[in-house]
Amino acid sequence: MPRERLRTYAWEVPVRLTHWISVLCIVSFTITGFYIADPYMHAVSSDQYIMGWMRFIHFVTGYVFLVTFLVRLYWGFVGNRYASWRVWIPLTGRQWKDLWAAASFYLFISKTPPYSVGHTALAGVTYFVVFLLFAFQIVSGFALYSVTHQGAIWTLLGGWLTGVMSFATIRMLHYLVMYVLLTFTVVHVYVGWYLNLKERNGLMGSIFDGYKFVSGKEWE
Amino acid sequence: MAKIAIDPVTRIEGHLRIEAQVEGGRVVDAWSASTMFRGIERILLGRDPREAWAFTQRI
Amino acid sequence: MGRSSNNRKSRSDSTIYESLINKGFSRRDFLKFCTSITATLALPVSFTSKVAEALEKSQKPIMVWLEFQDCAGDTESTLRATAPTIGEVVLDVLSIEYHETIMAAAGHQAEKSLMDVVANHPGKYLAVVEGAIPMKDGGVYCCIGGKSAVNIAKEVCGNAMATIANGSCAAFGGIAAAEPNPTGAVGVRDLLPGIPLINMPGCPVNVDNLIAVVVHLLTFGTLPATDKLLRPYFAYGKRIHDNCERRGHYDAGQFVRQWGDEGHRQGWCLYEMGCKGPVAFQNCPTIKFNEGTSWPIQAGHGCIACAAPRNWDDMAPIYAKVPSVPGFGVEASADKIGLGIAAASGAAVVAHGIGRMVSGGKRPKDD
Repeated sequence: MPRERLRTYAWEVPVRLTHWISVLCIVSFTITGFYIADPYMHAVSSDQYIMGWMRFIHFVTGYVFLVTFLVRLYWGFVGNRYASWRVWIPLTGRQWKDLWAAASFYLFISKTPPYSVGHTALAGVTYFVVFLLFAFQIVSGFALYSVTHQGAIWTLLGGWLTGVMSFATIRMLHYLVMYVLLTFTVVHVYVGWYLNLKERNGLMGSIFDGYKFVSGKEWE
Repeated sequence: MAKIAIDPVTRIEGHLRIEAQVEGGRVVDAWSASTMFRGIERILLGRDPREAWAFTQRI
Repeated sequence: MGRSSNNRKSRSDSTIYESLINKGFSRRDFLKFCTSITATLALPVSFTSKVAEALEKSQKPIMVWLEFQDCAGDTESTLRATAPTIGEVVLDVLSIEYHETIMAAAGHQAEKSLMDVVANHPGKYLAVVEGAIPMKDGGVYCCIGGKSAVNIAKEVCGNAMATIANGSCAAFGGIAAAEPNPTGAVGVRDLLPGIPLINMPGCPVNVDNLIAVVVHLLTFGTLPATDKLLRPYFAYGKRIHDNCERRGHYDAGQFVRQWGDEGHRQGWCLYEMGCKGPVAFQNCPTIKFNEGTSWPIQAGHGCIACAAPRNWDDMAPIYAKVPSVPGFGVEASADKIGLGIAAASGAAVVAHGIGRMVSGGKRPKDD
């Protein structure tokens, strides 16, 4: 007999909003960033401004992403427990247990999906790494930007990185991390779909409306 | 019988040492020594061949 | 060039200005030179009179030019003139007491000239260093007059008023220090970190920048303001990319795709051909080379960032836009690695999905 399910509010508005703004930013970054790294379109006349526009959009997106990132960071301290920074770093014994439970499910070792209302411990750790990569992209992006923008604010946002590694290395890493994040995106969407299929708890829909259908297995 | 050493030989590109054994006002033996080495050939190994010219022109 | 440090007649107590007049230059030529040097130093026009005054009053400073692991490219850059330019003359009247490539004396007489300067004018001569200094195996890979480059540099630069590391080899180790750096080559700064030093990288250095530094020294008594790498801001403060005459083509999206294609003929941007302009800093687009004749991008080849430290490794390959990822070999690039990661993860994801379907997709019991 099917269990009763409770409609639970997991993802607050700032969490969902920053998520979708980040998605749009990453799409914009990828399209423009790819062009900047390897121009895939050629202008037919010098009146066009393709590279100019690509860079401009990339820079504007950079600022939007910076703000979104900071808002989410802030919300990690003031939001509900599912948005909390504690989800990202496994501090309790229970979290480590959950981490292994989730990992063993994906590795076909266990047959029990990792039920949770918010993120699984594995998801939390993964997203923490992704946030670090986001932070690196922001810092390295501003490091490259600071070349032509002298001033304390840009040194603070990323210019200081040029003292740690050469420009060429910063460019290379900025580009490489984009691929890593694209890889993450593929895995992220797949896992979302797969886990939704297994747990039938409205996981995929929750990132749109914030609600998951909790059956009690989350606390077992 | 004397041995002369000229080091550096000037007004050339690069570095050179010349030694000469002089007997009765004539050079009876001579040695040349290159006094600087960088290893450009070793540096070239493993690099893209299209840029080899940029390294070798700096020999 | 035909200038000899042993020609006592050309060395007098005349000032630089007097020497120039004696060489046949007019006062007008002299003032034009002062104006152009003031501009090169990125100083306001009002400083021209200060520069002129300094050159009118200064005695010719003594300079020794040391060559270590070099190709003499910076010397050649200095000598490149079809007719003697006023800048070249300034270098001439600088009383260069020692320069292996051009001096008349050889052997121990040449070395004596050098040691005399160090002994008789301690703290009062300028040392110009060209070429890297090898440190491995006791410094044997570069010896002059039986002494290693390490010891010569310590003695001569250690007692100089200031040292100018001329060219990328003297500044950062240059091509001799490129992987795997067989001789342990380093720049002057790595050997002698405390001395008054200015780095003038470039492969070769642009002689106009060198002259400007010398004139600055004569005018103000100090070396110009430098960045963290000890490169003067006036010459290495701006990005090539921001002053390039082909920048409009970059912003438009017009790129050369192949050597000799239509875009190349039209003078389009060389970004896709590996130009490192966006990450290189020097004033080449502004002052160019060989008395303002041309510079690499004008000639149709991308910038190789020759004034950057470790440019042969960090800015390699010359013809790739993004550097190779270290440890993955020549052909690897972020593209290949990135696509590799993405493809591998895609494959893993598909395999997982298929694996799950094949294993029966067992559902937990009470659902």
